[in-house]
Amino acid sequence: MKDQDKYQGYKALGLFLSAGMTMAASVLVGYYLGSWLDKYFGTKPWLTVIMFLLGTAAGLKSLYDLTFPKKGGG
Amino acid sequence: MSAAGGGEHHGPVDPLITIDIPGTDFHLPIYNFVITSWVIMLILGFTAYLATRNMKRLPQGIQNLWETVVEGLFGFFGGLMGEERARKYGPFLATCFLYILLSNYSGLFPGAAMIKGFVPPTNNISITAALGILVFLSVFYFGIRAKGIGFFKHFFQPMAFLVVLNIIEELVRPVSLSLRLYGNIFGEEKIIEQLGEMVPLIVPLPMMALGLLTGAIQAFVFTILATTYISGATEEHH
Repeated sequence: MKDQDKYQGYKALGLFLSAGMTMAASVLVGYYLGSWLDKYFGTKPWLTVIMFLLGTAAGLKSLYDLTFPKKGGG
Repeated sequence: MSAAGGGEHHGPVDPLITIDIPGTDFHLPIYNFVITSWVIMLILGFTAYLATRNMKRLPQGIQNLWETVVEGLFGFFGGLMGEERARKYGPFLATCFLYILLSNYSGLFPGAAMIKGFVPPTNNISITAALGILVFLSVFYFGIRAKGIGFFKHFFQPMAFLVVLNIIEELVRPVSLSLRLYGNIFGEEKIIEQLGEMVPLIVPLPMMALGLLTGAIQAFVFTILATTYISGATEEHH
Protein backbone atom coordinates (compact mmCIF):
# COMPACT_ATOMS: atom_id res chain seq x y z
CA MET A 1 0.00 0.00 0.00
CA LYS A 2 2.85 2.33 0.85
CA ASP A 3 4.38 1.75 -2.58
CA GLN A 4 1.07 2.59 -4.19
CA ASP A 5 0.97 5.91 -2.34
CA LYS A 6 4.46 6.75 -3.46
CA TYR A 7 3.53 6.19 -7.11
CA GLN A 8 0.40 8.29 -6.71
CA GLY A 9 2.62 11.09 -5.43
CA TYR A 10 4.83 10.88 -8.52
CA LYS A 11 1.76 10.85 -10.70
CA ALA A 12 0.38 13.97 -9.05
CA LEU A 13 3.75 15.68 -9.50
CA GLY A 14 3.77 14.86 -13.21
CA LEU A 15 0.20 16.00 -13.70
CA PHE A 16 0.71 19.31 -11.95
CA LEU A 17 3.91 19.99 -13.86
CA SER A 18 1.87 19.54 -17.02
CA ALA A 19 -1.11 21.70 -16.06
CA GLY A 20 0.24 25.00 -17.35
CA MET A 21 1.10 23.76 -20.80
CA THR A 22 -2.27 22.00 -21.09
CA MET A 23 -4.07 25.27 -20.36
CA ALA A 24 -2.04 27.18 -22.95
CA ALA A 25 -2.33 24.47 -25.59
CA SER A 26 -6.12 24.29 -25.16
CA VAL A 27 -6.50 27.96 -26.05
CA LEU A 28 -4.10 27.53 -28.97
CA VAL A 29 -5.86 24.46 -30.36
CA GLY A 30 -9.27 26.14 -29.99
CA TYR A 31 -8.09 29.22 -31.86
CA TYR A 32 -6.42 27.36 -34.73
CA LEU A 33 -9.31 24.91 -35.06
CA GLY A 34 -11.69 27.88 -35.26
CA SER A 35 -9.69 29.75 -37.86
CA TRP A 36 -9.37 26.58 -39.95
CA LEU A 37 -13.12 26.00 -39.78
CA ASP A 38 -13.70 29.65 -40.67
CA LYS A 39 -11.58 29.28 -43.77
CA TYR A 40 -13.44 26.10 -44.66
CA PHE A 41 -16.95 27.51 -44.24
CA GLY A 42 -16.12 31.14 -45.04
CA THR A 43 -17.67 32.48 -41.85
CA LYS A 44 -14.85 34.71 -40.65
CA PRO A 45 -14.56 35.64 -37.70
CA TRP A 46 -17.40 33.88 -35.89
CA LEU A 47 -16.16 30.33 -35.58
CA THR A 48 -12.73 31.58 -34.54
CA VAL A 49 -14.26 33.48 -31.64
CA ILE A 50 -16.52 30.60 -30.63
CA MET A 51 -13.81 27.95 -30.84
CA PHE A 52 -11.38 30.22 -29.00
CA LEU A 53 -13.83 30.49 -26.12
CA LEU A 54 -14.57 26.76 -26.26
CA GLY A 55 -10.84 26.04 -26.21
CA THR A 56 -10.47 28.17 -23.11
CA ALA A 57 -13.40 26.32 -21.57
CA ALA A 58 -11.80 22.98 -22.45
CA GLY A 59 -8.61 24.11 -20.72
CA LEU A 60 -10.56 25.02 -17.61
CA LYS A 61 -12.41 21.71 -17.74
CA SER A 62 -9.18 19.76 -17.95
CA LEU A 63 -7.90 21.68 -14.91
CA TYR A 64 -11.14 20.81 -13.14
CA ASP A 65 -10.77 17.13 -14.05
CA LEU A 66 -7.22 17.26 -12.76
CA THR A 67 -8.25 18.69 -9.41
CA PHE A 68 -11.37 16.58 -8.89
CA PRO A 69 -10.70 13.24 -10.60
CA LYS A 70 -13.61 10.99 -11.45
CA LYS A 71 -14.47 8.22 -9.00
CA GLY A 72 -12.04 5.37 -9.43
CA GLY A 73 -10.34 7.27 -12.22
CA GLY A 74 -6.79 6.33 -13.14
CA MET B 1 5.62 25.58 -36.55
CA SER B 2 5.03 23.02 -39.26
CA ALA B 3 8.16 21.41 -40.57
CA ALA B 4 6.55 20.33 -43.79
CA GLY B 5 6.76 23.75 -45.45
CA GLY B 6 7.97 23.95 -49.00
CA GLY B 7 10.77 26.45 -48.39
CA GLU B 8 14.40 25.51 -48.48
CA HIS B 9 14.96 26.35 -44.80
CA HIS B 10 12.61 24.33 -42.70
CA GLY B 11 14.98 22.69 -40.29
CA PRO B 12 17.30 23.99 -37.62
CA VAL B 13 20.19 23.22 -39.97
CA ASP B 14 20.44 22.28 -43.60
CA PRO B 15 20.03 18.59 -44.24
CA LEU B 16 23.18 16.53 -43.99
CA ILE B 17 22.40 14.56 -47.11
CA THR B 18 19.51 14.60 -49.51
CA ILE B 19 18.36 11.40 -51.10
CA ASP B 20 16.63 11.69 -54.45
CA ILE B 21 13.83 9.22 -54.92
CA PRO B 22 14.33 7.83 -58.40
CA GLY B 23 11.57 8.47 -60.90
CA THR B 24 10.01 11.36 -58.93
CA ASP B 25 10.81 14.96 -58.07
CA PHE B 26 10.70 14.14 -54.40
CA HIS B 27 13.82 14.64 -52.28
CA LEU B 28 14.23 13.00 -48.94
CA PRO B 29 16.33 15.23 -46.67
CA ILE B 30 18.20 13.48 -43.87
CA TYR B 31 18.84 15.82 -40.95
CA ASN B 32 21.40 15.43 -38.21
CA PHE B 33 18.79 14.88 -35.55
CA VAL B 34 17.26 12.06 -37.55
CA ILE B 35 20.63 10.34 -37.59
CA THR B 36 21.01 10.90 -33.84
CA SER B 37 17.59 9.39 -33.42
CA TRP B 38 18.59 6.33 -35.45
CA VAL B 39 21.74 5.93 -33.38
CA ILE B 40 19.66 6.02 -30.17
CA MET B 41 17.30 3.40 -31.60
CA LEU B 42 20.28 1.24 -32.56
CA ILE B 43 21.80 1.57 -29.08
CA LEU B 44 18.52 0.62 -27.42
CA GLY B 45 17.84 -2.25 -29.80
CA PHE B 46 21.36 -3.63 -29.83
CA THR B 47 21.88 -3.54 -26.05
CA ALA B 48 18.46 -5.13 -25.55
CA TYR B 49 19.47 -7.85 -28.01
CA LEU B 50 22.79 -8.39 -26.21
CA ALA B 51 21.03 -8.55 -22.85
CA THR B 52 18.46 -11.13 -23.91
CA ARG B 53 20.62 -13.23 -26.23
CA ASN B 54 22.14 -15.40 -23.56
CA MET B 55 20.09 -14.94 -20.43
CA LYS B 56 21.34 -16.44 -17.19
CA ARG B 57 19.53 -17.18 -13.99
CA LEU B 58 21.93 -14.89 -12.14
CA PRO B 59 21.99 -11.75 -14.26
CA GLN B 60 25.36 -10.27 -15.04
CA GLY B 61 26.60 -7.20 -16.83
CA ILE B 62 24.26 -5.79 -19.41
CA GLN B 63 21.47 -8.24 -18.59
CA ASN B 64 21.60 -7.00 -15.00
CA LEU B 65 21.32 -3.37 -16.12
CA TRP B 66 18.36 -4.04 -18.39
CA GLU B 67 16.58 -6.14 -15.79
CA THR B 68 16.92 -3.34 -13.25
CA VAL B 69 15.59 -0.77 -15.72
CA VAL B 70 12.68 -2.89 -16.95
CA GLU B 71 11.71 -4.04 -13.47
CA GLY B 72 11.80 -0.50 -12.13
CA LEU B 73 9.69 0.86 -14.98
CA PHE B 74 7.15 -1.96 -14.85
CA GLY B 75 6.85 -1.58 -11.10
CA PHE B 76 6.19 2.10 -11.63
CA PHE B 77 3.52 1.53 -14.28
CA GLY B 78 2.04 -1.21 -12.09
CA GLY B 79 1.67 1.28 -9.27
CA LEU B 80 -0.11 3.70 -11.59
CA MET B 81 -2.52 1.44 -13.47
CA GLY B 82 -2.39 -2.03 -11.97
CA GLU B 83 -0.14 -5.01 -12.54
CA GLU B 84 -2.12 -6.54 -15.37
CA ARG B 85 -2.41 -3.46 -17.54
CA ALA B 86 1.20 -2.55 -16.84
CA ARG B 87 2.23 -5.86 -18.46
CA LYS B 88 0.02 -5.08 -21.45
CA TYR B 89 0.92 -1.45 -22.11
CA GLY B 90 4.27 -1.27 -20.31
CA PRO B 91 6.43 -2.12 -23.34
CA PHE B 92 5.12 0.87 -25.31
CA LEU B 93 5.39 3.29 -22.38
CA ALA B 94 8.84 2.06 -21.32
CA THR B 95 10.10 2.44 -24.88
CA CYS B 96 8.81 6.01 -24.97
CA PHE B 97 10.53 6.77 -21.68
CA LEU B 98 13.90 5.27 -22.61
CA TYR B 99 13.92 6.85 -26.06
CA ILE B 100 13.06 10.32 -24.73
CA LEU B 101 15.53 10.03 -21.86
CA LEU B 102 18.39 9.03 -24.16
CA SER B 103 17.39 11.72 -26.66
CA ASN B 104 17.41 14.40 -23.99
CA TYR B 105 20.77 13.26 -22.70
CA SER B 106 22.34 12.88 -26.12
CA GLY B 107 23.00 16.62 -26.23
CA LEU B 108 25.05 16.45 -23.05
CA PHE B 109 27.69 13.92 -23.89
CA PRO B 110 31.18 15.38 -23.90
CA GLY B 111 32.07 17.22 -27.06
CA ALA B 112 28.52 17.32 -28.37
CA ALA B 113 28.62 21.09 -28.67
CA MET B 114 31.70 20.90 -30.90
CA ILE B 115 29.83 19.12 -33.66
CA LYS B 116 28.03 21.69 -35.74
CA GLY B 117 24.33 21.11 -36.02
CA PHE B 118 24.36 18.30 -33.48
CA VAL B 119 21.17 18.55 -31.44
CA PRO B 120 19.18 16.05 -29.43
CA PRO B 121 16.26 14.67 -31.47
CA THR B 122 13.80 16.00 -28.90
CA ASN B 123 15.10 19.49 -29.68
CA ASN B 124 13.05 19.34 -32.86
CA ILE B 125 9.30 19.89 -33.01
CA SER B 126 8.85 17.26 -35.74
CA ILE B 127 10.21 14.48 -33.55
CA THR B 128 8.23 15.48 -30.46
CA ALA B 129 5.11 15.94 -32.58
CA ALA B 130 5.59 12.41 -33.89
CA LEU B 131 5.85 11.16 -30.30
CA GLY B 132 2.72 13.08 -29.32
CA ILE B 133 0.75 11.72 -32.27
CA LEU B 134 1.97 8.22 -31.46
CA VAL B 135 0.56 8.53 -27.94
CA PHE B 136 -2.67 10.05 -29.32
CA LEU B 137 -3.19 7.14 -31.74
CA SER B 138 -2.18 4.52 -29.21
CA VAL B 139 -4.82 5.82 -26.79
CA PHE B 140 -7.46 5.15 -29.45
CA TYR B 141 -5.94 1.81 -30.41
CA PHE B 142 -5.65 0.48 -26.87
CA GLY B 143 -9.01 1.96 -25.88
CA ILE B 144 -10.91 0.42 -28.77
CA ARG B 145 -9.15 -2.91 -28.28
CA ALA B 146 -10.00 -2.96 -24.58
CA LYS B 147 -13.56 -1.64 -24.66
CA GLY B 148 -14.72 -1.90 -28.27
CA ILE B 149 -17.11 0.78 -29.43
CA GLY B 150 -17.89 1.63 -25.80
CA PHE B 151 -14.62 3.54 -25.78
CA PHE B 152 -16.32 6.46 -27.48
CA LYS B 153 -18.85 6.71 -24.68
CA HIS B 154 -16.45 8.76 -22.59
CA PHE B 155 -16.79 11.65 -25.05
CA PHE B 156 -20.37 12.07 -23.85
CA GLN B 157 -19.59 11.96 -20.15
CA PRO B 158 -20.44 13.40 -17.73
CA MET B 159 -23.02 15.23 -19.88
CA ALA B 160 -23.77 14.94 -23.57
CA PHE B 161 -23.44 18.64 -24.36
CA LEU B 162 -19.81 18.56 -23.22
CA VAL B 163 -18.90 16.57 -26.31
CA VAL B 164 -17.21 19.55 -28.02
CA LEU B 165 -15.10 20.29 -24.97
CA ASN B 166 -14.16 16.61 -24.68
CA ILE B 167 -13.08 16.49 -28.32
CA ILE B 168 -10.98 19.64 -27.92
CA GLU B 169 -9.48 18.17 -24.77
CA GLU B 170 -8.55 15.03 -26.70
CA LEU B 171 -7.00 17.06 -29.53
CA VAL B 172 -5.03 19.20 -27.09
CA ARG B 173 -3.18 16.20 -25.68
CA PRO B 174 -0.71 15.58 -28.52
CA VAL B 175 -0.17 19.33 -28.94
CA SER B 176 0.62 19.93 -25.29
CA LEU B 177 2.74 16.77 -25.05
CA SER B 178 4.89 17.72 -28.01
CA LEU B 179 5.15 21.44 -27.22
CA ARG B 180 6.12 20.77 -23.61
CA LEU B 181 8.87 18.32 -24.48
CA TYR B 182 10.17 20.41 -27.36
CA GLY B 183 10.03 23.71 -25.45
CA ASN B 184 11.86 22.47 -22.41
CA ILE B 185 14.66 20.75 -24.28
CA PHE B 186 15.00 23.54 -26.84
CA GLY B 187 15.22 26.18 -24.11
CA GLU B 188 17.76 24.27 -22.13
CA GLU B 189 19.95 23.56 -25.16
CA LYS B 190 19.72 27.19 -26.25
CA ILE B 191 20.90 28.46 -22.87
CA ILE B 192 23.83 26.05 -22.84
CA GLU B 193 24.70 27.07 -26.38
CA GLN B 194 24.62 30.79 -25.61
CA LEU B 195 26.58 30.40 -22.38
CA GLY B 196 29.10 28.23 -24.18
CA GLU B 197 29.56 30.90 -26.82
CA MET B 198 30.24 33.60 -24.20
CA VAL B 199 32.39 31.59 -21.81
CA PRO B 200 33.28 28.20 -23.21
CA LEU B 201 34.88 26.91 -20.01
CA ILE B 202 33.27 25.87 -16.71
CA VAL B 203 30.42 28.40 -16.83
CA PRO B 204 27.95 26.23 -18.79
CA LEU B 205 28.56 23.35 -16.38
CA PRO B 206 25.89 24.19 -13.77
CA MET B 207 23.42 24.66 -16.61
CA MET B 208 24.35 21.26 -17.98
CA ALA B 209 23.81 19.72 -14.55
CA LEU B 210 20.36 21.30 -14.58
CA GLY B 211 19.97 19.88 -18.07
CA LEU B 212 20.37 16.39 -16.61
CA LEU B 213 17.48 17.16 -14.28
CA THR B 214 15.29 18.70 -16.99
CA GLY B 215 15.92 15.79 -19.33
CA ALA B 216 14.88 13.22 -16.73
CA ILE B 217 11.87 15.23 -15.56
CA GLN B 218 10.56 15.81 -19.07
CA ALA B 219 10.92 12.15 -20.04
CA PHE B 220 9.17 11.31 -16.78
CA VAL B 221 6.32 13.79 -17.28
CA PHE B 222 5.75 12.63 -20.85
CA THR B 223 5.56 9.01 -19.73
CA ILE B 224 3.27 9.75 -16.78
CA LEU B 225 0.88 11.65 -19.01
CA ALA B 226 0.90 8.87 -21.61
CA THR B 227 0.24 6.39 -18.80
CA THR B 228 -2.65 8.46 -17.49
CA TYR B 229 -4.20 8.79 -20.95
CA ILE B 230 -3.88 5.08 -21.72
CA SER B 231 -5.10 3.99 -18.31
CA GLY B 232 -8.05 6.39 -18.61
CA ALA B 233 -8.93 4.93 -22.00
CA THR B 234 -8.70 1.29 -20.97
CA GLU B 235 -10.10 1.19 -17.47
CA GLU B 236 -13.20 -0.89 -16.85
CA HIS B 237 -16.17 0.61 -15.03
CA HIS B 238 -17.69 -1.83 -12.62
